[in-house]
Amino acid sequence: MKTRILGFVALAGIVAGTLVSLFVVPADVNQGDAQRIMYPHVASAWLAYLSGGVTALAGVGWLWKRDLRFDAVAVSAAELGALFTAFAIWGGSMWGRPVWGTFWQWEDPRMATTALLLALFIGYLLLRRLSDDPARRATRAAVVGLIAAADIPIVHYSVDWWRGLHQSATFGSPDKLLHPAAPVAFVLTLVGMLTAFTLGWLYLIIRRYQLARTELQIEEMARQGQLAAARRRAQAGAGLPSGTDGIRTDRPGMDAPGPREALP
Amino acid sequence: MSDVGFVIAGFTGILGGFAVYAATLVARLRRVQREAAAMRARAGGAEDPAGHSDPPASGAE
Repeated sequence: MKTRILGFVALAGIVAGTLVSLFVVPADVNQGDAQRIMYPHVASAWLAYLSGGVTALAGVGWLWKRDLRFDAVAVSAAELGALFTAFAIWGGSMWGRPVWGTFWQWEDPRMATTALLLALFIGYLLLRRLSDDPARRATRAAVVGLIAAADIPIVHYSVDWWRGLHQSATFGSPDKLLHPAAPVAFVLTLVGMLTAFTLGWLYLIIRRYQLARTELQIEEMARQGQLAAARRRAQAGAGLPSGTDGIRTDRPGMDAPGPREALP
Repeated sequence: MSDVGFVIAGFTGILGGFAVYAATLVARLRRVQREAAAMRARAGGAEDPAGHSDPPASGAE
């Protein structure tokens, strides 16, 4: 119920933020109406960073504790990371065409490293499909999650480290935050949109985590069902009494969840 | 396309994607929860001759 309330609050915030962005704050003197795209674009970019960070931390949690709940958090954050990176790229392209005169420029370090981040998130999700063993899948994914997270500071600081089309961060330092170059109305609208999008992200990651946990339970039930069926077949074939099935359970994927891969 | 056209395209892409993903995610969650409840009920029915089983999940909550 609390999650549902969070969803409604996030929805209301995003609708309000959109209305303010489109109809209340004035257009920028230099960029015109195109500047309005910055509000969802910057919020999406922030959530792409946040998703990458959560994916990496949860991956470290899995590698350290071997608890599949961490892996469920990691896959949830990675899926949202792919989504919000795609949103950031889309918003940036729609802003870039009227302001820069181009949708995309591969030579720009910010754009190229952001495209790499999207590819890493998609690669993370595809890699997970290669294995049915939850522990192996989580370990491989955790490594890719860490590589994706390593790209995030490169994306962020690329505008300072290399020369490109993309401008440097408007609020990238405490001094810029206290003395923003943009008018206060722009800053407040951006902060409001960032808050609303973050609440929406929180709602989505909770739901995605619930989905990941339920999918794990289904996988485990299916595995236990296959094991039970194999035991019945072995008993019927060998004429063994009940409880002495002769089926080995020490093979990967055949054993009940132990401390190394505790189910949520 | 005018600036306003790009603004509309930008907002529609992001907010539309957000909405479609959220709706799809909730639908996936409900379907998987129903599937898990059905599997639990089948497993409970197989182990319990009296037919006692866990109640099915009602939805995303």
